[in-house]
Amino acid sequence: MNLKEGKNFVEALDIRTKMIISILASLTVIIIQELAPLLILLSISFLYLFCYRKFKLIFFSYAFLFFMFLLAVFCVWILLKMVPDMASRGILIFFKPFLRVAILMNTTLVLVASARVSDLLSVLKSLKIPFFLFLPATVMIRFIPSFINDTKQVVESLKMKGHNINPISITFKPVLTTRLLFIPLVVKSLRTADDLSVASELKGFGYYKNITSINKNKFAYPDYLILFVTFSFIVLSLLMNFKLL
Amino acid sequence: MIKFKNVTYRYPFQEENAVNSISMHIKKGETVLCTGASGCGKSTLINLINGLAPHYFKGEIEGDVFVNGINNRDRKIYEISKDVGTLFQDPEHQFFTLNVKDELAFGLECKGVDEKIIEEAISKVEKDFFLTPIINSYIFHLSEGEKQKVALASIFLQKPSILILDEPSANLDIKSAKELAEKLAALKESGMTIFIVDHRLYWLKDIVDRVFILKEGNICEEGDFSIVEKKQKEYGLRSSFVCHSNKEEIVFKSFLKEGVDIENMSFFHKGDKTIFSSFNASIPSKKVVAIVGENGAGKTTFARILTGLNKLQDGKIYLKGESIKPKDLLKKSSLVLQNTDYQLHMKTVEEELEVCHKKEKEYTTTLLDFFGLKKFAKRHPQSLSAGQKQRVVIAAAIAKEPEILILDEPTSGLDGVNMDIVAKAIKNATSQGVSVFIITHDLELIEKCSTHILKIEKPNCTKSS
Amino acid sequence: MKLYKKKYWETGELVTIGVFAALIKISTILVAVAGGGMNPITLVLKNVIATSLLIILIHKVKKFGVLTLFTIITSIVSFLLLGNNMAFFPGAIFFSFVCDAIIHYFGKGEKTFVIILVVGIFDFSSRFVSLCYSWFLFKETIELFIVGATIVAVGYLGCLIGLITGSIFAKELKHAGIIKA
Repeated sequence: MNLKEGKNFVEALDIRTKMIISILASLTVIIIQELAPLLILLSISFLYLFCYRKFKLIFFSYAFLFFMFLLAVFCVWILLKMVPDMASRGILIFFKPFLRVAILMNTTLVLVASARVSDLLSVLKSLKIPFFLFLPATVMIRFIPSFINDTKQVVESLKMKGHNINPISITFKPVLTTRLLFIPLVVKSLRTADDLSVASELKGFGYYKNITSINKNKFAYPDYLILFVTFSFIVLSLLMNFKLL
Repeated sequence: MIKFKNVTYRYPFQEENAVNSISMHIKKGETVLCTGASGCGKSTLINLINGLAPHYFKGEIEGDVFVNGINNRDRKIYEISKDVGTLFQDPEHQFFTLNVKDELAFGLECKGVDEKIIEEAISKVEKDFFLTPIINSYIFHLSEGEKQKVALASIFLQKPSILILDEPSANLDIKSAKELAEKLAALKESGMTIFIVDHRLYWLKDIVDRVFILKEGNICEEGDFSIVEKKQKEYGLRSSFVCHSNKEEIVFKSFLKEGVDIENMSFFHKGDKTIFSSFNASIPSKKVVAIVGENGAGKTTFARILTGLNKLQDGKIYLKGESIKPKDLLKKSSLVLQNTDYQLHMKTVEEELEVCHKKEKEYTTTLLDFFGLKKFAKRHPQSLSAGQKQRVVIAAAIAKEPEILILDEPTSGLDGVNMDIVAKAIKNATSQGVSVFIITHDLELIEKCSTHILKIEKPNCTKSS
Repeated sequence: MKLYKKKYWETGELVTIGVFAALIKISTILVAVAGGGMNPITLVLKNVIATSLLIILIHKVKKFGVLTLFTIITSIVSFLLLGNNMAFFPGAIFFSFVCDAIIHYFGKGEKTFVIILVVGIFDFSSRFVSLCYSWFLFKETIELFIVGATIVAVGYLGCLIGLITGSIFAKELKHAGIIKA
């Protein structure tokens, strides 16, 4: 196995593998209705997340999911007060939706936590998408950190002028808050777009057919293995769901 | 190399021509400077050389521009860019990626150049431009000088024979400007033709062969570098030389208890090196203090501490002899950032000042008058010129009636006339009882309006404290 | 090197779409963080900002396909960066394409009324698609789905306000000369 230095099995997987797993999971969970295949998928997806070995992240994510579960149960409890008939359907029906959410969380966490903004550009290149998708997606990734920085500067400049952006100002002065935040950010982004457009014209982007990449991403043995395992479990769970097994 | 034959150009939706009947000839290996007041048509000349005008900006053109003997009308922008490389004022706006090596490779990757050739070209340029220590750095962690170097190297990878630079020194400190001048001299030596447009002129003295001075779209003067000095006042230019300031340095002797006193200030960013350690200073009130030092020395951090945006790890700050907490500093200070776009929020200039104070409307009118903005009161602030916008943000900062006013590079990209106006506005602020601090590399501005200098040097203390 | 003979998208337009996609993502996250995620005003405000920005984008890039391209790249990057679900990708693209067709058919992006109407439909359809997916997730407990749908409806109220504010801001930016009239 050809693991990159310091990376565990899951971390070393090609980003495309992680994307395929996430997409397959999001499609499978909406088909499956039976508890047993959902539990199987939850177990295998949790194992996948566990192999990522970011235990703190796993703990906090599950704590958050549990909190959301309690919040939803609380909302449903209020609904039950209004519609008492619901109680007769049992607690299990409240449980299944959260199994689905947990499966989705397990697969997307691995994808999101291991994808750094700086690596995403090489990922985009490796996806071999057309230039008209590649360029705006690249620009979007490039400007996410820039706009975080710009926003910080705008907020600080407002702070200096005596306008704090917080829940109170947003709640009681939404119109002024929108304007104070909105105008500088829009103007900045329009100017940025103009500057970058000029730079891209001058560099001749979009006039050449092929895009090459110095950061090569290639499928390796672990990618094929884990995709095979994923397909197997999805087929198994579907067969169980439709009582074909 | 570059030839203009009776060129007149007008941008779309504009009534007046940006340039009129320009004829000039720049020879191979020549380094030419083009200067003049804001809006005189300097940047249009750049756009005409690299083909952005009229291919990108559209508009109407008469006459012909030839680059390497080929008429720009017959080529598309990307074809012209094989001959002409353009470096803009803020190189970060030209970057498409987040790391230096990726940025260098990106232009070639988008052209489908083979990976091995790209790697070889990067290795070469890495050595030529001394980029090895920063080759894997995040672009946001680079200094302005380093960003310039990366942008220049990225252009160089496209192998142009002509290099044009649009206000390259606007964001550079003195040391970085000197380094850029040295690099340009080396490129000139290698036979490259260089066309520079800039307001700051002193750093170009030794590399420029010829100077064009533009006014209202016409070439009014042409000659060697000495004409800049002779014609400075006539065309509202910046100075052609910098004098070493003889302003009084802030030297800590004892606390004055009338302005800002800083006692044993210590500050470091989490997980980073110390920026200030047991720092003491005493700054008199109602004066203009220029904060100078290299990029990364801690000037901005000093300003953030003084405005209460950063909290001290140790030490105290006194205002008029009384100890003051960061949240109170926030109320009593104003900070004007370098980029005015971040600080203009409202629909009119008048409203921009009104949201900063709770006084009667007359106060706004007084301020508008004071800063020469009365005739723009109903204009949208974003539609003003750079110098006018700078005045609006200073007026808005003063509307808050702060006791401390800090300005970060207020004259970056401004011509001589606008710099004078900003300098006057700064001086006027002190007459309102404000202690003004200017973070700047602009020696002309320091000479014009500051009363004191505070030198902040790496790693962590003032030169004289 | 083989060259394309003709390009439908100018690089400047592609860059503007990318910049706005980033800005919309960041500003909505920022408002949600600053105002508290469960605060209904925050829910409304972040949608006001997102819709306003979308209207400005359409005023700036007047070309057939702008909403479709915006949807595709936002989906790809959000999927990679935030783990957003790709299952509603086809539905969202379909509806954005329909919206583009309406804008193009009725005035080619020149008529403000059409832009307002279409962005309203676009926002509605993107929420509709995500709610459809949620319905599959929560099909056993329609009550949970209703709770989610209520939150989405409150957010959509922000979109409706954003249609007006977006048009006002677009007019203001044209007046300031930042967007070409």
